Parts: sequence; structure tokens; C-alpha cells
Amino acid sequence: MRRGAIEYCVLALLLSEDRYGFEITRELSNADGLVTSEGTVYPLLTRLRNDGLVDTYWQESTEGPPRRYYRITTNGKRALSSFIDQWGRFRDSVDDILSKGR
Amino acid sequence: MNEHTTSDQIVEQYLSDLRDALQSLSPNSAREFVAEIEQHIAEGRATLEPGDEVGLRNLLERIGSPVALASELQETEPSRSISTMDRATPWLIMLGGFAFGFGWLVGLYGLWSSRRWRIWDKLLGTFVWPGGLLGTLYLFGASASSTACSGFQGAGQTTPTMTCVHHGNLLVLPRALQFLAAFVMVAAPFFTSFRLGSVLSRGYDDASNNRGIRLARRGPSMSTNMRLVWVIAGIVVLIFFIFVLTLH
Repeated sequence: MRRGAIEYCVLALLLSEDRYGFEITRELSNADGLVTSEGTVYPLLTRLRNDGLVDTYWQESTEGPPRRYYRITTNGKRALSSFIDQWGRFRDSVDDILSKGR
Repeated sequence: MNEHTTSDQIVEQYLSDLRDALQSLSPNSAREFVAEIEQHIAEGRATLEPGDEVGLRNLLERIGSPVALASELQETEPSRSISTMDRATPWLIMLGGFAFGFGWLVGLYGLWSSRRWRIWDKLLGTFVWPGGLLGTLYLFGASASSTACSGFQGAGQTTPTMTCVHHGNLLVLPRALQFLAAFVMVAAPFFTSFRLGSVLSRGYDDASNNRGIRLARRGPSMSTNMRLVWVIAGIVVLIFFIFVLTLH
């Protein structure tokens, strides 16, 4: 479940601006309890690209090698908004049950 | 300077450990993943002081140990195990025709019902040549009359090719082109099966091929209905070929 949610976190990160891999993994690993190792984010980015939810392009950088940037596609935006919807209901239901247990 | 070399060595060691750990993955996805990690390390090192060995080790630790990454990748990657049918298919396509044509039919079914190959390779396997190497023999057979004609031409020394036009379509070509055509006829089934086998063991190189990505996406999500349609289409094509062959 966590892995599934991370994919949407990536999409959400890309909503405001295009980002390169290092940036994305840093953002995710800075969030508590989301990813255990940064390297595992890359296969996930590959999957998102293969699924057509993001696309990529290369851009020169001022410091270091050229960077592969990730950009969210229309399909990606659609997938994200339906996830946000589901996630809200899911979270509410879990919260509901958990609070009953108290 | 010396410290810098040590940092390079640490990175080299890490990357080579990673390559070793990823050996069970398909070569293409392993190569792509290592390239991405390499890039990540380069980005991370740009933020470190040169020779900051602790920082570097910290960076690698955040990326994850090669073994952990490999096991994580194995979970998300589709299984690389290849079924016996898929393994047999390239051989059946090439040689199956000699089993009274039946082997080739089985190969054709294997080709069209498998998800391992994409549409262009399926078409390649079907049409180059129908019947595989038996198809090559058939193509030679079709120009057998022109072979006889060619002997006749040799005796006459300067006999023009005109006499042969009715018999064989190959003989209107210059001699060098005849050899080329014969070579293509023989080599094509080998090429086809080699290509099918290589796709089977290496997968498609999606990283460098945008068209591939789109086709690949269709592959795994293709419904059973859709695949049935392809199988039926393949059988129809086959029947058409049998029909054409019996006309001769």
C-alpha cells in the first residue's frame, strides 16, 4: 500500500514544477516514514514513465552532469486527482474505525 | 588528491556491487537503474566537499545497500522466468515446418498467444517466412524451373534471359542479385528466430524507444478478449497461406 501511495506523492510533487530524480528522491526521503532508501524511488519513476503518467526530458545543469527531468502528463494529473479522492475517503474511514477503538 | 581517489574508489565499489546484485534482472532495466543511481551519486557529490568521505558514505547509505535495492526491484519487476512454450517458440517458428507443418502451427500459436513479443515481431515471425525454413525450400521450389532454365542458358552462352521469364521470376535478375535473393531467402528465417529469441532473453529496450513504451503498456494490460482476437487473426492469416500454397 505504501508503495502505491508513494507513486502519487511523486505525481503531487510534479504538479507544481518539473523535477529531476535527485530532487524527487530527496523530497520523499525527507518526509518521515515514506521511503526507506532513496534508490528504490528510481524503479518507481521508471514505472510511472512506462505507464505514461510522467514523461522525461534532459536538461543541462550548471553544476554537474545533465539532469533527467520528470514532468507530469495529462493522464498523470487525472490519476492523481482520482487518487486524492479515494485517499480522502480511505483516510476518513480508517480514522473513523480507529477512533471507535479508543 | 589522495582522498579524492578514495572517494572515487568507494563509488566504483558501490556501483560494481550494485551491478552484481542486479544480475537476475533483465540487462536493460539493470543498466538503466545503475545509470540512474550513478547520476544520483554525481548529484549528491556535487553538494559535498571534495574528500568528504563521511558525507559520501552517508549519501550511499541513503540510496540503500545494493542487496536491499536488488530485492526491492525484484518485487516490482515482472518475473523474468520464461515459460517452456516461449522458449520453444523461436525454434518451432524456424524448424517446426519440417514436422509436417504442424510444428510451425504450434510455434505460431505460441508466438501470437505470448505477451513476450510485440506486434511487429509477431508479424515478422508469421511472414518471414510462413513455414520457417520450410518456407525457404518452398521459395526455392518456386524458382526451380528457373534453375533448370539457368543451366540451359549456360549451354547457350549468350542466350538472353527472355526464355526464362515465363518460368522463374528470379532469373530476370542479374546473377549477383540472384545470389543475394537466395541468401536472403535462407538467412531470413534464421534472422527471425534469432530476433525472437533475443527479445525473449533481453526484453525490449524501452529506455531508448518511445514507441516501445506505448506498445509495452498495451502488452500487459491487454485483456484476454483482445489476445483471443490476435490469436484468431493469426489463424486466419495461416489459413490464407495454406490456401495460397495449395493453389500452386
